[in-house]
Amino acid sequence: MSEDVQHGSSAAGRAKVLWVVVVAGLGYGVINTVTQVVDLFSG
Amino acid sequence: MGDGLPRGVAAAVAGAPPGYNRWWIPPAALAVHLSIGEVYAFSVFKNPLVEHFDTKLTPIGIIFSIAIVMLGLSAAVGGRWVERNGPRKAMFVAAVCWSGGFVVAALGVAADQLWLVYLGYGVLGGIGLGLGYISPVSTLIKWFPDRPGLATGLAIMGFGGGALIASPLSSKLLDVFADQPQDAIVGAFLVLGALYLVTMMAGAFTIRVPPEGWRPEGFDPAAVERRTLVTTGNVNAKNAIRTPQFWLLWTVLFCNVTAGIGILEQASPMVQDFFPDVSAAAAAGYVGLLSLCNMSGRFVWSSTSDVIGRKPTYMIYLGVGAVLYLLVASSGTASIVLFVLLTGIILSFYGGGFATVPAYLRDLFGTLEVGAIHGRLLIAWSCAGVAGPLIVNAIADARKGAGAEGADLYTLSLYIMVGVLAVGFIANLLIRPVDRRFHEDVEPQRDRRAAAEPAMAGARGERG
Repeated sequence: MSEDVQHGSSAAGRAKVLWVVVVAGLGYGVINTVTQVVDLFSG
Repeated sequence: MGDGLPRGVAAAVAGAPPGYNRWWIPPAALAVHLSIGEVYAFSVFKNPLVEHFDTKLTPIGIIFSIAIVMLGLSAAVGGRWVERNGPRKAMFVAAVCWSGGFVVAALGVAADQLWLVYLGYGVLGGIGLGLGYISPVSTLIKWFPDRPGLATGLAIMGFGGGALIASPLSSKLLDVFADQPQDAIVGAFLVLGALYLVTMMAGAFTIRVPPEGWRPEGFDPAAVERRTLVTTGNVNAKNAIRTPQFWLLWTVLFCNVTAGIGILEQASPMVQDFFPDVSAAAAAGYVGLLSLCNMSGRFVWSSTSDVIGRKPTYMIYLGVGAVLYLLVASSGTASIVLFVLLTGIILSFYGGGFATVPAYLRDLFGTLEVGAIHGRLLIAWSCAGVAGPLIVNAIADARKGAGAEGADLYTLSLYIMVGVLAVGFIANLLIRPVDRRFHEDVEPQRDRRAAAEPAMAGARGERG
């Protein structure tokens, strides 16, 4: 049980880091694409 | 240990400890889907590979086709294995196959052996794609029984979004490793393989299956089950493919994907043929915009289906989609803004169709083997991946041969897509709840209920 809790808390820690990584990755992809679209259509 | 896998992986159907927050699951699923979504950005490597192998586009295009066919096959064949062994083991194997595919493909490029690239990126990577695509789906549905469309939409949005990250990243890597892109492929493949291995492993070691009988606070299953199509029973994967509902839904997915992929695959030349003033660079921007619509449609429409129901959602995808195709065919050349708007909405329906289907399957067949059933349904994707581009390209070639040009090259294809969507619309209309004889344990459940009846009557103070 305590091992469960320990594994659970390390997984929760990893999940928080993963949230940051995936949101940052998606943000990078979306901003990059939007910038490209705006540049190309305005150019 | 088990199955030759590391202890932390083999030990796991990876149950969650009490109090585990279900919002820790979506980033694990997203980590996998964002990684395998790279496959949609494979076109970045096409020209460098053509240069490197001194060949034509077709032999290089085969790499992507093998990967997509293997996606469908491995999802169909491996679905039950994924259900039996849990998401962690499946994600682990998917990570090894996907990143291993990059390493083998890099070896193929370094050794000038194209068949090794087919084997690596196509076959091995394709298996990673299929297993990775279906591995988190049933777990998400079990953690989010109140909002399965939102949960699967979030993950499958990652598959659409993966290309948005991989495309600029791959271009940068090709710039960094050598002066000429064709000399930088090996380095770029190895870096991507390593990056995806780390990301997918982080997902694999974070995912957890909910405890038996777990349900979110305040969730009343009866409220969901009151909806017409939502089943209270479970159908296994073997029986599911014997039901008309499976094949009707197969047709629905096939029609929706065929229509969408026809535009997606041909987007760049199509916009330039409709509007000759559009430059190649602006067409690339248009393709990026369609990718955004595809990605956001996965999340927005799938979440909406939790509120309005799965069947009405597909009626919108297929019914409104057919009207939009008709408008593109009849008045698409009137204005570029109108053309971009219409095709953007069509592509959002295309993405939405992928993301909503796991929740539709859950409604019809229950949660028991929804991942395996989803895997078998994805064969429709592989078939549509061949049919959609074939219809659009073959007709465009034939029309060109007959002297047509501009938007006229596509008019007939667009009308055919209206027909394809109409077929899907009818198939969706015909979907009814699955007959109870396909449900698992109908008799034992009835027996248990019968046995419990006197005890319950006693508890209520009733007397016979």
